[in-house]
Amino acid sequence: MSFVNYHTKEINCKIVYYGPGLGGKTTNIQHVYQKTALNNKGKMVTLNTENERTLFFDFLPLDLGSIRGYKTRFHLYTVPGQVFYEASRKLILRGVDGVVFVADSQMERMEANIESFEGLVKNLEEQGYDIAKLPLVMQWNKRDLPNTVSVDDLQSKLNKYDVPTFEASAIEGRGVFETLKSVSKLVLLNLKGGFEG
Amino acid sequence: MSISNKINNFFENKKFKFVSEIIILRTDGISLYSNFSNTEKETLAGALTCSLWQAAKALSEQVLVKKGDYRLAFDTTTSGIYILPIKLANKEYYICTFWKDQKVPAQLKNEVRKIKDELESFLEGNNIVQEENREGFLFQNITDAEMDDLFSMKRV
Repeated sequence: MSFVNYHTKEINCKIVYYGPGLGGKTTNIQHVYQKTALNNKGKMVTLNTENERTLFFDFLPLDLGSIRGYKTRFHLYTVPGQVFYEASRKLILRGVDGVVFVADSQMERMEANIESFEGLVKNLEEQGYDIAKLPLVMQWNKRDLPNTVSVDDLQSKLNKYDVPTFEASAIEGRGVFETLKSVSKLVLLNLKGGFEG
Repeated sequence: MSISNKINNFFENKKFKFVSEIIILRTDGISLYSNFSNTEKETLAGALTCSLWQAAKALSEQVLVKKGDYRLAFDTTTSGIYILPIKLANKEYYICTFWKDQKVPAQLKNEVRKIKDELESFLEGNNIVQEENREGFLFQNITDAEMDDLFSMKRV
């Protein structure tokens, strides 16, 4: 859950990159890390297996500028994509403010995308979230590869909630910041306001 | 007053001479208080501490089934990490200490437990405004130009 400190005028939000294994979640935040200047980012933490697959999560704290006087900080997390790590995915979704679903555009990964998205809906429900009310954007990743399905196909099979979508090639850095900017805006618009008692 | 301000007041008033690093976290890893001098370290400690606790808790619920007042220690005879859940204003938070080169870590753990008890008492009955109880939204609209500005941080 987001944290707004009205006294110090600071906003902290948690964004989770979710999706099937090897879909490019880690590549997304690695690109953000590589392309962000030192004073805007913290240390990136990756908890990997020996063969460099995400074991628990990747974590990147990102200090953006200020919006209307509020200093903003986004905590970016990825979940492990492999089916085996379902319990870890549930833990990482706790306190989430916004989700980027990173779909793999390759034809042979469509089933994995669908299964992963269904898992996301179920895991969010278990945490008491209604996915229809949670800031969510879809990223159609790996558009640079030759064996991709059409965007229309991805849209009809995966974008059940009619949320913003972005074509991307995270490995080339294409679409990465556009996706992050979109989910960040939705998260900021979703922050609770009111007066401090 | 928000909970983070209350916690800061508590530590300012008490003037603890706590010899190790201490941090108080929300369950999502966001720090409400710490005596760390380094913000980067504080952020990392927050994310990892909460993940560590939640993984241990999930494991205990699966394997041990019994619920209880757990605490989590990862330590050697002289250095380590110690996490305790703490209930503040009816919500769960974590209090965690990190120490090194300590001759009597048990004493340090005891001090943390005392801080936990005192902080719980201090906040009992306080009128804490929880985020989820706030009305309305912080921003009614955000323009694309404002978002561009927010993301105009220096790129490498």
